[in-house]
Amino acid sequence: MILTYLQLALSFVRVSLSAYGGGIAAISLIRHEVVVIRGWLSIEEFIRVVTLAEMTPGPLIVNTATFIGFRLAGVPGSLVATAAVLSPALLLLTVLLLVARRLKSQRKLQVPIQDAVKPAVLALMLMAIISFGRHAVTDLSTAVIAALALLVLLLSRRKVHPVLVVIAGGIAGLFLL
Amino acid sequence: MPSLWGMFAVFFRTGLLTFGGGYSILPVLHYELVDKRHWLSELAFTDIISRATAIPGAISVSAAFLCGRLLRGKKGSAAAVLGMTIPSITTMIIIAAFLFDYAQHPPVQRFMKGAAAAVTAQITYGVWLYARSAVRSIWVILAAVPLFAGVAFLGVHPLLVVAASLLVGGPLVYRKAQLKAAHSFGAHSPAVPSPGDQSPESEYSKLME
Repeated sequence: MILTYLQLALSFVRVSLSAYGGGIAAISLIRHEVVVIRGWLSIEEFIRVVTLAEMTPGPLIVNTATFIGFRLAGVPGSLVATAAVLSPALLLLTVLLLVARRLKSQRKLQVPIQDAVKPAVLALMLMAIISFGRHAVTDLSTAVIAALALLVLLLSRRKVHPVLVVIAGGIAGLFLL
Repeated sequence: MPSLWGMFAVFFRTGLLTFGGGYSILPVLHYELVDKRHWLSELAFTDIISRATAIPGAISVSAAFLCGRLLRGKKGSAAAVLGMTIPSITTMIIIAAFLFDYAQHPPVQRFMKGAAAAVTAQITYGVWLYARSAVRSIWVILAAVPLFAGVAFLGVHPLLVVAASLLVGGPLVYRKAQLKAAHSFGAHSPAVPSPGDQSPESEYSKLME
């Protein structure tokens, strides 16, 4: 049992350290760990888990880790997997904040860093749109739903909670897909 | 300044109302923190998203951590991260324990397909919110194009893209700041802003104009 916890922790720490661009990017890493390396789930089961994690509220990485941890070792397993997938990023951010505090006395270094990282952030974001959209927008109906949703979001700024648009998309899916 | 409990509640709601994870959280966070409550300025929001993207891991949780830290220090970051993650951990355990098979029903699947298409729009809108505030100069876009090509077509590791952006762009922005400072304060002044010019906003626009 202890071994399961350790393997869970190790696998999800590894996933976390190379998971760039949010959930979708992490999925292939998690599949590699869970299906290929450990053999905890079959690929069919894994696909079902990911579909489920996408439709459950909250971060995709957290959902997938929680589910797989629960499958293997119950509630403690889910907590171990989730803590493992979150702690590297939070530790890294804490260290970066300490470094940033050191730099505070030298603002001339801080601003160039903030500005210089922006092109990379934009590139990674575009990548995330494409890798998510490739799975979600697969035919004309889903393309229409996505286009209308974007239009509503752009035009109704500050007035409509974004989740309403997602729920509307789901209801449209019930009738159109 | 928001109370710890108030922050926990806002992030709890955000975690509960965000689907798809990652950048789909940006519009919700922007709506809750910038538009509705004015806890964060547009600039602080952009900076938080930059940092959350530049390191690996769950973007939404990293963003929550940084927001909490900025607003209420260490306790704030704990409140934000717990608020962000507790809804998904709880619902996921309940589903894993009781509802896994129900989620395979065709109507549920159809609803989720439609919702996923709308989430694509939500992610795109989130990127637009970031870009609108981050792109103050054509150079940001010109630099993003080869970085995107590297990550999308050449399979370059995202960490290398972040490093390249910092190592090439950093000195350029720094140099530009020094030239600007030398120009405005006289040739012997160092590139340190004058005391009345401490806000990142003013400093930022000075650099990118």
